[in-house]
Amino acid sequence: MINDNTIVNVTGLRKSFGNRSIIEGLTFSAERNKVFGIIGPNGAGKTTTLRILSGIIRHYDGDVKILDLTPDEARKQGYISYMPEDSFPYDRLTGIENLEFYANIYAKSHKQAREFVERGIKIADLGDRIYDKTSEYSRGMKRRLIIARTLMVSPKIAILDEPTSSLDVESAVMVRNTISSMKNETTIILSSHNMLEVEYLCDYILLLDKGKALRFGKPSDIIREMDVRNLEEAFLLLTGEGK
Amino acid sequence: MILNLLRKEWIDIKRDKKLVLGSVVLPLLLLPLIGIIIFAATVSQPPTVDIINNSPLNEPYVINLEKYIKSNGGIVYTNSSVPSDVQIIFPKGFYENITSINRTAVVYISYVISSSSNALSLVENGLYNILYNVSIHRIQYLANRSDINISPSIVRDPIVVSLLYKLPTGGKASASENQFAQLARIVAIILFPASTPVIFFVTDSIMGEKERRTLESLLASPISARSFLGSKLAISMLLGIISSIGDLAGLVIFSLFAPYIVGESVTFSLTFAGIIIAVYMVMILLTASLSMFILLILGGSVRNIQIVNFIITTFGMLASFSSLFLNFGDLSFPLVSILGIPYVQLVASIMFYVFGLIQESIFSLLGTLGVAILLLLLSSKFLDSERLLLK
Repeated sequence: MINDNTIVNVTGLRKSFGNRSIIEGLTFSAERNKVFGIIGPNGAGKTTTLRILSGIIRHYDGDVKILDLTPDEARKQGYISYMPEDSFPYDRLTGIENLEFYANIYAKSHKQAREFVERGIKIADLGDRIYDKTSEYSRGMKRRLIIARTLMVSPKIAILDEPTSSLDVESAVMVRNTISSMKNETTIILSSHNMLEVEYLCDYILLLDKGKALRFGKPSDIIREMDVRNLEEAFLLLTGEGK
Repeated sequence: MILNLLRKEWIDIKRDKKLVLGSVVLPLLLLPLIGIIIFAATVSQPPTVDIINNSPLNEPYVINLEKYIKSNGGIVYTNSSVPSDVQIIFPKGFYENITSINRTAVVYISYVISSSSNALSLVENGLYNILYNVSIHRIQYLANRSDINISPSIVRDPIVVSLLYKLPTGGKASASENQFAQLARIVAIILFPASTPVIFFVTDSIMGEKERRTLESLLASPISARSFLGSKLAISMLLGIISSIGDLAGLVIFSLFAPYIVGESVTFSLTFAGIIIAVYMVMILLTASLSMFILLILGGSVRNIQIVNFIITTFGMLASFSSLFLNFGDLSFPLVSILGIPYVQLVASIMFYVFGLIQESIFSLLGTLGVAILLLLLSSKFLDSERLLLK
């Protein structure tokens, strides 16, 4: 599956916390400028996998390469922009100050930082509320700001952990549209337990359960090969809980 | 990179009204407030003494004692029912006994527990004056009767103590230098508590990010460990210095006025103030780097913050006690190994300076500075985002 477009290559990835095994021998790859989804129920190992890819977790077994670098090296180069599931903006800073802070971290020059911020303002689409302190934002607005902060810096890989979790329908749609609009500009790796959302957004998916890969491929191929109506049915069939 | 981080930290802190009020404004108000309370207590609660005289013959002695107490700031009531700190009774027969060569006069003192101890000291000192004068008169009387030529005061005080002071290095010292060394011990004791807010600022600056769920994004960004920790350290130290500015100002004022207390030159006091500021700055840096190092080793949890606090406070208490009980001018093996405990070197630096061991003082200060910087470098080298985030 590895080709010239491969940007992430994971082979035999294992991770344990104490005696508890979280990931057991994952192997997958992600291609440039595609949306790659890791899906599975709670506790499947999605967040741990994303934390390894983002360089947060540095102790693991197996081989993980991002553009031939370790995740930590790729992080230091500014190739990765990561949005944790449970992340919030700095609530005493305004929306624009939050964007400026992250823009300055990733930018190589003041000009580039300004470009990042302008892009962030567009992605967040918060109007004049961007100048308000984020403590006055709704949860949906905060999430849009965080997504904007993650995507505005034109990373080689944007990692989004459960980007629409606990959002109302309107906010979730806006976030999905934002991710969709970025499809051909950057590689997006996202996790979700919402299989229908992933089916809609992702070019490739990895079905994960209890730290093991159940299936890897294009959603349409998996649905066709398994002769099911959607990914939800495919997942239930793979875990033995379907018909 | 670090300027960007510092700017963010500064905006964040500036807008945190509770932090500014609780950690910066309140300590600045608290110190003068304590001063006002102590001053008010001294002015409004002078020592009070009630003298009960049961015989008009006792009058000269009562007046003598009354004058002494009043001239030393005490308030005297005579034969009154006003509640007072000390009550002294001159009974009937006191005059007959004290004026008799072979009798003992008795006075009765009752002291209200937990009241001003100054009142009791005033009464005891006033009575000592009476006792001394009566003794001299009795000796003079006996000398006259025996027809011998003596000096009553020499008979009364046959031993004169001549006290000489020495430096731990063996050189001569003055009484004022001795007093100065005692004052320096007090400075050393109160120096550590002034730096403790830094423990909170360091742990909060890192764990606050975790609590507010901003840490994970930050750790996944290209920020280097050195910039991340450096910005946290700089802002914590700044807050620590601001929050203890009252303590520091108090220490400097104390150092500046110390020469007038002990009779030394002003140049000396400015140098001492300089040493105190230098020691304080290194202490702030050491506290910040130790807090950071221990937190990164243990991992980021509320319980671990308590452990960090406990460990550093224990080191600080050891240093404070060492300033009370140790003679830093004469440390030999194995006692010298106490200098390996954090903060003790800083206390030693002050004491070495007071003892005239300038080189040792500077060495202790620079040594601690070196250790603090080393701890910071180790912290940035061993920063493990997994441990900080997940433990």
